[in-house]
Amino acid sequence: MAEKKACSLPGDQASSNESRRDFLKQSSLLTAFAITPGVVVKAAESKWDEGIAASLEKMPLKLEINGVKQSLQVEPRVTLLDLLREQLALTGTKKGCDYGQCGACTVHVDGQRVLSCLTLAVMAEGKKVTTIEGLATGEQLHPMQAAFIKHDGFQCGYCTPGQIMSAVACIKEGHANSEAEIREFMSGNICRCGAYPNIVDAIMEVKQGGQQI
Amino acid sequence: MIQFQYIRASTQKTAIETTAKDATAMFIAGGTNLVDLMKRGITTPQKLVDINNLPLKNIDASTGRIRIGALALNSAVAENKLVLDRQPLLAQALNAGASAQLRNMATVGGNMMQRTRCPYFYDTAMPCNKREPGSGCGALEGFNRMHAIFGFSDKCIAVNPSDMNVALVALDATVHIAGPKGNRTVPFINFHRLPGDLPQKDNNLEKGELITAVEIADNPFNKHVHYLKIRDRASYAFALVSVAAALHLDGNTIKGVRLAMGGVAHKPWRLTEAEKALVGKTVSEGTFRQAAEIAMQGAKGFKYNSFKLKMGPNAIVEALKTAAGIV
Amino acid sequence: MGFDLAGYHVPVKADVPDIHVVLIDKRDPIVNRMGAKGMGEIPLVGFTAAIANAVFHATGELIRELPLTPDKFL
Repeated sequence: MAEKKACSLPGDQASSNESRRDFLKQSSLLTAFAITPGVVVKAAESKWDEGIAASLEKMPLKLEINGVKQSLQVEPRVTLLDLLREQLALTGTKKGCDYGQCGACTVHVDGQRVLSCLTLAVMAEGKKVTTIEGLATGEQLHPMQAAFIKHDGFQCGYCTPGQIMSAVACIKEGHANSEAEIREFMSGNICRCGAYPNIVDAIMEVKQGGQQI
Repeated sequence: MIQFQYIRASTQKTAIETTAKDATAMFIAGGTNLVDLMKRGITTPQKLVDINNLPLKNIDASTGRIRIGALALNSAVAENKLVLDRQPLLAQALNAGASAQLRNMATVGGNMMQRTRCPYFYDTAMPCNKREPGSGCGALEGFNRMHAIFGFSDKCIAVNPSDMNVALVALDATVHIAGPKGNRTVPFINFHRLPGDLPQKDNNLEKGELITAVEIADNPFNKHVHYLKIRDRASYAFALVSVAAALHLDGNTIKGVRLAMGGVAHKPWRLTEAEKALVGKTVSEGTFRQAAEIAMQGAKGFKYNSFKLKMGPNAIVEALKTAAGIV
Repeated sequence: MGFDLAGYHVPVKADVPDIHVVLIDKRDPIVNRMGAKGMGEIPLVGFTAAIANAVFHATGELIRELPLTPDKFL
């Protein structure tokens, strides 16, 4: 199994300019397979047909991401965050802690803000996912994006996509009625640069502006 | 994360049957704790039975009770009008837990099932009787700042991390359970366990059993309530100590009271003796202080958590004062 | 025991009050030709002590170790 998988990896042809990155990708994938028993080994042990084993590994997944319908094949253990970043190249959603402790991976699923790092992709079957990439309309920034820029609501920017997704939901939920309420309901998004006061200002302005979000 | 088989259950019956007959199968609902534990290799199910399609999300009320489906989201319960009107203590406790994003994912049943946040349980390089029975308790002689002061054993001194559980035990909730052998109900106070010799068991749920709902009988505790959570930061942190306080007042006289603590034991800790001492008394800081002293009887601190022996009674007094409106 | 962001606490929005930024609008030709100066992390040294002293003033407890967590005041 592992060999077969490895052979089908992109960039498999050993060329002189094979990048280190490709090498790392390959070797870490091989390691992952080597230390991953689970259903594969079980299938081998019980002499199952490889076709069955493969169907246990990957599952069909249909969902809508930023208005685009996607029909995918994913392993059940893939999180929504990894699906977005690794499989769909939507790297706007950030991986901060990967354990639900920082909020950098916040996306909307069916309009609700959730943590994509703790969501198994297969559990988003049939749902509508919105990421930071889906917020703007063409070149027109979403009011919250514009407000973050105006109020300097970031420094390094790593937590910003999560902050903005959370901020939009915070207003939609009706939890942006005062600075204190915003501070409480935005506490699930951590920033180490110290942009909190400016983020709160940005949210207050969008809320008071009453724009369509 | 190890590989596993994922099954989307369409009926409660198949969900229960699938999970009951496979020792390595587990239910998954919100996944906020389970996915976390699976990523770290602490919990390693080979089969996950997704129960999110089951019709267990409703919150309804009929005469004399509120019934909350096990799949109702923490955020939905906290904002539900019936809950806010009849059981505001529960809403307060839910809003004190986790973050807005996590409350949008976590379910009521899942909240009840969340494991301890003891760092020795989380660190697979450390001994932990809960994670690996027989390996010892790292916290007993270790860094036990967050740990229990009531009901612990020499096998485990971990605490239950939930805020919701504290309110539900105070409100005398009932847990509805469906299982391979049929349905049953358990008083909330008997749902979670003390560690004893089996710290690996957090609760009294049998293999394959599924929480279907939590029910709270109507009570007069909808006016003077307060959930006080003391933590290292102002939000998004587990409790050092928390107190759920509910008073039924007739003027200044306490006709009834419910008190429970979080962050102090392996289960949400109901303060029955303190409640008894308060009934019939007049609201005052002195009365509350006396009850708090009674509540703390039998508490014992460890090297790093002895502060809870002082923080506990102070929190009880503050929660009662706020509930009574005499701050 | 802080091996992750759940144990090693950084402040959240609910912890942080309004921050007033004061610009010292004066040229400093010694540091660089632009005349700009940046404080960076230098003020961190003084402000932790200032907060500890403010807490001492409020509570009567002088804590000499960071972080200033609730348990240290009991």
